[in-house]
Amino acid sequence: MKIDNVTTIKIKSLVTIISYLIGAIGFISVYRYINPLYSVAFVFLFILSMFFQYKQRFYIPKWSLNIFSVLLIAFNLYKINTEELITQIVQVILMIYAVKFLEEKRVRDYMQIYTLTLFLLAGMGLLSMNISFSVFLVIIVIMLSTSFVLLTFYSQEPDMELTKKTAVRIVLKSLYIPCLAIPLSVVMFVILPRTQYPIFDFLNRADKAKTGFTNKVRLGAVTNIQEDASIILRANMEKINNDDLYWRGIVLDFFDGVSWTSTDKNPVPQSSSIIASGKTIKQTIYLEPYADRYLFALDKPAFIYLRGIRRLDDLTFRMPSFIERRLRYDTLSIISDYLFESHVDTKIYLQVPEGISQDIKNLAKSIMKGEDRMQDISSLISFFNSGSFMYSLKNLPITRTPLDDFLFKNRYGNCEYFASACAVMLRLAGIPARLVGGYRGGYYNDVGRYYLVPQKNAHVWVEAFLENKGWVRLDPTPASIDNFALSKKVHFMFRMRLALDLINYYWYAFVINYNLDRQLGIVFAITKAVKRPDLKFNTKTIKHLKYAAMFIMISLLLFIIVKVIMKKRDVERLLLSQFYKRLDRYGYKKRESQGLEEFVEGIKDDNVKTKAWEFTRQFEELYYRDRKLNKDDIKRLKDIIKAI
Amino acid sequence: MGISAINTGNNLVYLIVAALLSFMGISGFFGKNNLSLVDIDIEFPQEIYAGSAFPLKVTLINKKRVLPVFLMKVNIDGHTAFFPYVESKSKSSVYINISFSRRGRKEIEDLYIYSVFPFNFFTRYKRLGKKFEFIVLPQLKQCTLLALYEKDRRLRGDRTSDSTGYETDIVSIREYVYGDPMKYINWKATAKTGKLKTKELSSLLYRPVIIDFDEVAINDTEEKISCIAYSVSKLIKNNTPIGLKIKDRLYNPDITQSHKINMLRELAIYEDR
Repeated sequence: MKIDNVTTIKIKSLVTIISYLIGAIGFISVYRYINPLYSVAFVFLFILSMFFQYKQRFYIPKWSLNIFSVLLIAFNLYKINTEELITQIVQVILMIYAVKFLEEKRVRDYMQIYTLTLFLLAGMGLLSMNISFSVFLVIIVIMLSTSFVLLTFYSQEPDMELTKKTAVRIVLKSLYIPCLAIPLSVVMFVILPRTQYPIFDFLNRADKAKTGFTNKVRLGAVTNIQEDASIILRANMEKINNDDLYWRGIVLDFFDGVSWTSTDKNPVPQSSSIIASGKTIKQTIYLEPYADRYLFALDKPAFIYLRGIRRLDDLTFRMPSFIERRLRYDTLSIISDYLFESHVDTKIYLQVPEGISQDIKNLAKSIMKGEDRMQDISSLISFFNSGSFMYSLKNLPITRTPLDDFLFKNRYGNCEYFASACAVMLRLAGIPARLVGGYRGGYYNDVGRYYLVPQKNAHVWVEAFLENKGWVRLDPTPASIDNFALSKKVHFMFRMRLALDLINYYWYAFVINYNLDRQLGIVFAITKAVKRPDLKFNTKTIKHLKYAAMFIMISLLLFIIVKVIMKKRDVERLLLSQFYKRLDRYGYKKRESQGLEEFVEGIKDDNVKTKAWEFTRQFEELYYRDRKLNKDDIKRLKDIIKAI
Repeated sequence: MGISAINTGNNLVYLIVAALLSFMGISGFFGKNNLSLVDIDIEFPQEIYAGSAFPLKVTLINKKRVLPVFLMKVNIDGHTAFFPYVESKSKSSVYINISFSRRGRKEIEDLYIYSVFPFNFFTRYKRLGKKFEFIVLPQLKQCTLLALYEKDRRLRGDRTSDSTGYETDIVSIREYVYGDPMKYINWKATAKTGKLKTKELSSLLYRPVIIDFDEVAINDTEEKISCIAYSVSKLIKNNTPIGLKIKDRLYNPDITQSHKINMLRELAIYEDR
């Protein structure tokens, strides 16, 4: 029936439209991670199904679609490999998804579509750790719950039509469900049981390895790292002086004239202490996956807490396998320019390339006289910082003799050139030296209390060995800090990006890296706080907890008071129940169906009956006049009850 | 999905599981809430005859403050009233066709509401513990008894009443009032006065009839009741005052609607099993 001015919507069309939207979102959530061929196929079939839906005719018979699905699964099973397992599964799910859309859809089919959507989303979760997942999750939860409610309407009466107003109301009111479910799922996420050793860990696909330091660094190659706009690590720690921000990663000790490599090092137990004096800084580092196995930490890392980690004798920390996944680890570092060691292997640290030019040897000799090593070092550093060398990332001399070109021809380069030249010249002067690769500087986020270190901050510096002092850090690159710290002039957009990175940081810190340890940590923290509240009385958290507890208590009290007042209003019912209780003593029980008078009439004992009638009469007189009982009324009635 | 979350240790899959679980929890709460603070009222028409369908007005009252009632079905003795959507703090009514095969006192006791909301997985029920009592009047069955009384009436002749009606005798002539049937306009008087005049006719009042239940010679009690009920209802329609003598009780002849209902009710509960 069509009523004027009232547009009606078929519930069926509503379900169809939302389901197609869900389908599109399901596809968007995974298309980046699958073979484009499948994406194209899906889009084609999806649009085709829209056409079928529009025509209300489903041209492809169901059985042939089923055969197609089975064949598809069989084909993928045949091709299966563990490397790309999840991608393959997602591709198959996507195809079945498309097939489901091609069919004529009944309630059951819609349910299957929704289930497949969740599978696709799970696939996305396994394929990517990106924060966009949470956005998809929220959108899909909201849409699914709305669609579920509408589908339930549809299942009850397929031809139901709603006015636009009602339809909007139903959709809006059904939004209460996700609105409550989303905060609850945060709680659920925290308390869901975890295991320490996931069985199918390999299903978690590695993030794509990015550029980064490897144990062989060709001169000029660090520029590739520096041009990468992505983030290498976030370090949750206190803010420290910019000059101390050296993130140590890899030590390079062998130079062939073109590239530096890291020779094999001996592992040392983590418990063996390092000798350095300075402030100890604790950091929690979230390291992005990159192309090698070394972990980064603030220079002079004394300890890194991570399962499987190995410390090497050049004070680097290495994982047994490539870092293919985002890592979180705690580390302790001592801020110091010096690292004491009694002796070093001069064979390694005095090595120079065989074909090193006479020019360089002469230059080294002219700068360093060999009388006082400290003096030599400072004159070498001032040689690089004198102004005759320029820092540049462009047109770097990538030749067979990069050092000669850098020192005598171009006179510009980036940190690798400065550090290499410096190390080689130190070695020529008989001072053991090595290159340290890592990152310099970082951007401190005051809200999240962490340093954000981008790949472009990749840096190489030098460590020189002095008798009785150990390794001393030298940074020959001129004015390097300006290149790595946030200057005042920095673009507004970059500042915005930094602020927005906070979301990413929390996502990694609290969602991606949430595990059994942290879950247990929360449990311990709570039990500790509960067991001994008096010991931590003046800490800030306990104070907050106290306020929260007080708030809850007050609300509870208010609630009880309100309840009591509400109950008082219902004093009539209270009186009646007292009356019935009294009569129950004499063995008169009122049946549900009995009226008050009927019940009183049934009393056999005359004495009781008279008094009961007295109550009934007075009560009814008050009750049926719709008058509120005052104190006197209540007292009178109560007295009558007592007298019975 | 839960197993895959534990087995892969992937926090994002955990997130999905957490969302699903809380979703289920919340929807359970919503399903339960949907049934709470709902009241049902039933309105019966005055005359319910056994064997014939009648519309029953079922009203759902949503006493909830915020949430509407979704997809509620009400079971009334095996009949279902369906309320797709009722706003919070409002009510909605539907009519369902219902019929009872037997006369007598009836109770609707088996009254419960149920709903599949929010998801079509399972149905929640709630018994309302309400009782509705009403009387189903006997089935009206045409029979020869009426003819007998008609005959009896004719034999005894009619009697004019003082009240006006639309029978043959003119009682008086009055001014035309808008809505009077054309055929009752007295043209003669109209021509005389120049104003429209209407005839006022007498209504006939027939001689009263009393049906004695025990005297009616029909063996089957149900047949007898149906037959008497039919006669009573028909005679009152024909303006014949009718009385009923049943089980030491005498209903004096009258022609009002309430009188008819009273008699039919008496018949309805006669030897009610």
